[in-house]
Amino acid sequence: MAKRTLLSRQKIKAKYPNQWLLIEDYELDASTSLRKGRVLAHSKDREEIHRTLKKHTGNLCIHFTGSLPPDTGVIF
Amino acid sequence: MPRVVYDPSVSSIVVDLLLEAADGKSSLLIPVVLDTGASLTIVATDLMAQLGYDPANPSLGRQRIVMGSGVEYAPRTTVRSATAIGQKVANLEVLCHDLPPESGVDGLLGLNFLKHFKLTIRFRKGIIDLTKER
Repeated sequence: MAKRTLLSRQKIKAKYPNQWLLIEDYELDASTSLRKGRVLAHSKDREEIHRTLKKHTGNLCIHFTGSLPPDTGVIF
Repeated sequence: MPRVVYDPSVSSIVVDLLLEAADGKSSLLIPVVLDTGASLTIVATDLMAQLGYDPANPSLGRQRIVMGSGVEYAPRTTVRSATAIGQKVANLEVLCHDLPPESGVDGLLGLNFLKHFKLTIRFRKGIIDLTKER
């Protein structure tokens, strides 16, 4: 099977807006932030990505391209 | 200097956290909220299992945690290493606990990681610097 395209973080966000992603072959910048990678799976459902993660091994990345709605606050 | 630039208009600060697997042969990068109000770092339970840390092991200590929603108990384990904002901490204690999917993250980066460094947050500009104290 052909390898998926290596995409920058910005292109990943544009191609898969507001989704959870599983990424392989990722590269990080000096601040440990995702710089680029190959998207293995994408979904609106975080649990689906967690389930897909179990089928893979190696160095992987979970990434969310969405953001909270502006009228939503967060308190943990 | 390790620096993260973020959108200052967002309601919480999300950074990437790199966790080393229990066998040291792989790693997982996940989104976490930088939370100076959290005493410990938290990671989703199934992700810790994926990394080989066995959060269901009954011999693990359970930590009482007081959250906004009430008091809960969560398994506590130690990861080989955790790296965020360009800084690495070896043998970091992590609580295995799930945050709601709506949070957009898989955990919290808490004080037990941040306290090893000098943390500067420029809220108006959206800049985080994390440096070693001299």
